[in-house]
Amino acid sequence: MTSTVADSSPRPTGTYTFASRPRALNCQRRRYRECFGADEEPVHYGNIMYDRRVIRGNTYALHSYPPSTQPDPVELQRQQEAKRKALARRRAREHLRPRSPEPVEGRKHVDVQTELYLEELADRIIEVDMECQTDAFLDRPPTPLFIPAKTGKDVATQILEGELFDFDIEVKPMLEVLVGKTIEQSLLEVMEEEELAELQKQQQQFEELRNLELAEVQRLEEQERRHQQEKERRREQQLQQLQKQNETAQKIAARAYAQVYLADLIPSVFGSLRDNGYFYDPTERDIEIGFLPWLMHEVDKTIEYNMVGRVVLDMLIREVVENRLNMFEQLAVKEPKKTLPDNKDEEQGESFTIGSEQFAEEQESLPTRSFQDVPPEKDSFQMPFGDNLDIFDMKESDVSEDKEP
Amino acid sequence: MLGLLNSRRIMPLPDTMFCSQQIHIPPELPDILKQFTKAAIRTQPTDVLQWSAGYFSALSRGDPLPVKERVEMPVATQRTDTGLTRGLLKILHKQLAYKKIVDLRELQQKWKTLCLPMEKLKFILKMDPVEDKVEWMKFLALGCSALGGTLHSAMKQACEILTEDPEGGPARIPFETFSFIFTYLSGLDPDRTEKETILFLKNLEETVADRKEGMIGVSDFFIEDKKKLQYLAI
Repeated sequence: MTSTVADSSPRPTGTYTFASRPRALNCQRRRYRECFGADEEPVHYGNIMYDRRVIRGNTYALHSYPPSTQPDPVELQRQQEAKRKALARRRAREHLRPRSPEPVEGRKHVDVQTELYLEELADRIIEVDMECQTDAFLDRPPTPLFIPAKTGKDVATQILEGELFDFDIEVKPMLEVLVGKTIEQSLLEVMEEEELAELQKQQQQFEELRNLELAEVQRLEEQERRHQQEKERRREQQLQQLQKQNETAQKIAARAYAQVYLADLIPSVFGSLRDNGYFYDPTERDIEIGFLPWLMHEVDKTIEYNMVGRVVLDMLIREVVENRLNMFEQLAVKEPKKTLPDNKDEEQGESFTIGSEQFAEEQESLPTRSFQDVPPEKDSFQMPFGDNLDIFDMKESDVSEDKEP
Repeated sequence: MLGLLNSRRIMPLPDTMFCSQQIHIPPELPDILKQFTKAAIRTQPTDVLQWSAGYFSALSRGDPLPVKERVEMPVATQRTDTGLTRGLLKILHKQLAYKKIVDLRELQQKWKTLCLPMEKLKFILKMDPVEDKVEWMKFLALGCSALGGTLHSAMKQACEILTEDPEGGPARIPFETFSFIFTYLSGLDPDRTEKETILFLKNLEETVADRKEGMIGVSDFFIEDKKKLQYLAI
């Protein structure tokens, strides 16, 4: 599948012209993992030996293969013409060539050699194997030693004992090494030791300094801490004091207030007690407890007597009046009376006075406690005590209404 | 060095010596040499031979070696005054401290080993003259006072020499030692009265006793001193 570029007639229609365009081989062995939808061309491959496109034999007398791509139409026409002409010529030649007549029925033409000497026409080409061999390369032999001819004189000598060896000379290099090395080595070592010692010393000094400073720092820290503590304590103290002050102030205020509040407690207590009668004058109490009830009782009795008297009087009067009424009615039947009510009043008044006189007499007989003068003789009906006691004031009308004692 | 080795040549070498590889070096030699060299570098003696003699004799006897612990940069005044430095005093202390009383001759010997001038030793000893034997702590105190000008700087030096704390740390020594040295030195000083000394020591003792287990460090009295100076308006 080679492409032959046309040498004689290059028509650069593009950059290249091809007999057959190059195209990628479609190998069965996949080079990449997947082929991305490669167009499935029909696989063209075959033995190159049997490829018609491969030129065999003489290449100098061949027609150049016309380029199939973009052939010039004129050129194309000319080529066609040439082809037709060639074809025509060949036909013409065929026509003119004398040929042997066609074989008779049942016979066949056969090609025969008619030369003097028969030539064997064989398909198989006679091959003969020829061999040739060379010897292996031999190494170049070494050049023979060049031994110049002997020249000069021979001389001999003898070494005696002690002549070869001179101690001082021999020992010198050793000494140099010994002494030199010793000095060098010791110098180095001394320097190294010095350096180490110096480092140590510096370290120690630094440690010292650091220790001192640490001590100082610690001291300061201690101091600071103590100050803080002191401050704390003082503050605590102050707070406590303030608190106490507050409390005291509050207490004082409360006390003052309580005092003010309770200032008139005692007088009020005593006042209320006195009002409620807890402080009493014994004689007064005595009077109140003892005398006054008795007095009341006596007054009650007196009034009762009064009442009884009055009731009795009333009854008397009533009887009398009724008798008189009956009498008068009896009389009236006989003679009509005119001044009934006036008489009644006068009689009542008279009867009252009569009654009161009777009462007074009765009362004198009763035992009396003379706190005040009892005026037994009075015209109008009066209570034995003065006019002070209003309770005991009784009107005539009231008395008359009490029918019962 | 080569002198020693030349003498070696006289000693019989094996008869058939042909090459340098046959020369035998004693195996301890490099080590000894190295230690010696390091000691020399550290100590920086002005007379190397003198010092080396002292070094090797001390080494052979098994005594403490006259070697400084740390390299000391030479002080500018070293040539003018006693030539004594703290390191050198420390060496002396290391060598002689185990004896309470030191023979004067031995002290002189050690002094010489350190390549210090003898007049200076006499100068120091003049402050508290002795005949034959000297109490070591007293001499140390004198040496310290020679190092530092004032009493307090001398005490500082003494602390740093005598302490067992690592260098640069708080140089602490027991309070008794401190008070001994202090009393001795202030006794020699005509300006200070005994009462002052006792008072000072008492103050220090109070601060030290309860907190630091009886060890007093440089910071305790050095700062103390400043405060005191301010207080006394000196």
